[in-house]
Amino acid sequence: MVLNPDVTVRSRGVMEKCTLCIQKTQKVILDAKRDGRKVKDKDWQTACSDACSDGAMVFGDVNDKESEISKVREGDRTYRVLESLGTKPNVIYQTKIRNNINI
Amino acid sequence: MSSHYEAPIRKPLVEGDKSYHDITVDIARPIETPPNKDWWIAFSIALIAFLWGVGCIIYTIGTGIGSWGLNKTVGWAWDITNFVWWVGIAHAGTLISAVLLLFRQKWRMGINRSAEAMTIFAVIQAGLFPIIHMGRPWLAYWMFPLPNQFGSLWVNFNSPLLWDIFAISTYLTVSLVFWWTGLLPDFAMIRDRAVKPFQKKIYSLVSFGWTGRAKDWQRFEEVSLVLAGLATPLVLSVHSIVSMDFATSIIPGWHTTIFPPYFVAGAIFSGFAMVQTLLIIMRKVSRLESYITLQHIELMNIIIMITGSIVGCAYITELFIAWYSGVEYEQYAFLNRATGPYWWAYFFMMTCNVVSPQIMWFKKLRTSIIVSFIISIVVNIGMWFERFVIIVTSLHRDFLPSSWTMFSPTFIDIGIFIGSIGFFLLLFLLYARSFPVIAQAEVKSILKSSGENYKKSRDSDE
Repeated sequence: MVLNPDVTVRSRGVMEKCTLCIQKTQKVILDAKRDGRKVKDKDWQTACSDACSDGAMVFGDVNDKESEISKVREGDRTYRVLESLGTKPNVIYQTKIRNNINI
Repeated sequence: MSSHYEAPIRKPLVEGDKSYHDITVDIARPIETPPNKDWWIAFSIALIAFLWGVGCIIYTIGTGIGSWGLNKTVGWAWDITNFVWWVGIAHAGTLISAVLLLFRQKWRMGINRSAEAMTIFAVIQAGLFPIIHMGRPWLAYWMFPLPNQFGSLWVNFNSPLLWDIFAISTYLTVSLVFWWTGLLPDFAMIRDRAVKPFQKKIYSLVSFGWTGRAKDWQRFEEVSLVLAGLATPLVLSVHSIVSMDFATSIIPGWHTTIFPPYFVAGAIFSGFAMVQTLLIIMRKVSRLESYITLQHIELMNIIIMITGSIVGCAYITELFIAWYSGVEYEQYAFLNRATGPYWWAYFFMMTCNVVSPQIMWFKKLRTSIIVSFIISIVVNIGMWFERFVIIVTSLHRDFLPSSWTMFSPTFIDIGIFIGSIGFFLLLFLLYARSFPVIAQAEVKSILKSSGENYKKSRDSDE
């Protein structure tokens, strides 16, 4: 999996750990490199965020300060599961929208 | 090597009226005579257990580790328990041979050979488990930082699991070299006595052309001392690093700074218990009571008692710190260990490891062979439960109550564990009939200072 994420080595019915579709990221970066351009936001999605029509899942490059994910990440609804443990997960959540800013 | 005088108040380390030749004959006897019926029975049982384990391992590799009782929450259970248990057992050998050599404890000479053999055989068992746990053991070489053309394949030097590979492979190498160095003069002794050409050929090969010149002995002493110096830090480092597999994580119950010293004490504790179990049987079966005396057993019992008490202090410290830290997760983890669904494992651990060795305070009990034997078995059961408690009870209640669960081993889990015990005994039984089980060259060096008959005649002269 780590060496060639385009194929799976597991037999049918065995779940693989989520890699956030690293094969897609790899392809976009390599294509951009071949064409001599920079990758930009919305160039690619993970399978799950692509399938999500309502925008409940957002995927993107947090190093790009202009990307949608960076804006969502800075929002005041953002939280991480068990944040106090300090594991700094890459998957972040948002609380539901409330009228009161005091959660 | 050192003094040729031993105080009369010290008990002799070689009992009975022994000459140099008697020692040779006694040590060579198990190798030169055919095994008896009891040996064959023990061998058959060990072989069956081993084959059963091999079957379970083949099944695991064929089907995947889904055949074990692991689940999403408890991702480490029997396999890692067994791994840590065997690595722990492997600790006594180097302690006896290296640390006691540096401290010039002559009583080690009766037991070091078998303790080191046990170490090597136990490390082999320990190594099995992580390799099977990988799921694809044919890729086990990926654990080493080998230069390769795969692209992104490289080991993670931040991971204690990698440190483990280095620690254990170093330990195995140094122990093996140390063991074999000590064996050279003894193999040469067997070679010189051998009458069958095949036997002579084999022992010639394994004794690496030992001739017994003064130069050979000088080098032998030097190498022993250097290796003892190298091996001594390993006694502390190996199990410290094994403990870091747990301590560097954030799981409550694992994430504690006491782990390295506590694991080392536990390792020496279980290692001595296993040496005790094996030697009590071996001295009887191979008629080596003159060399592995009651005094040896008593001294080992004292070490078991001390290390058991250190382990007991560590358990209580853990409980205290969990409370004192004020961290709810920690407090719950330890409360759950003692009173949760796995309370029985905790109870076994506490009784076997903390309470049972305390009976060694009584001279009468620690010099009783049957009591020593029972306690040595009890301690090993307790130390297995200690690892089980640490691993499974910490994992089964994790941070998210939605994933709380229980672990129960499958037929395969149990089979592989029993197989590893069978494999271990198999190796030890073969060793007991083909290797000089006592470092006879070293024992001969103390015969005149510490042999019973020599001491007696010297004392009566004075």
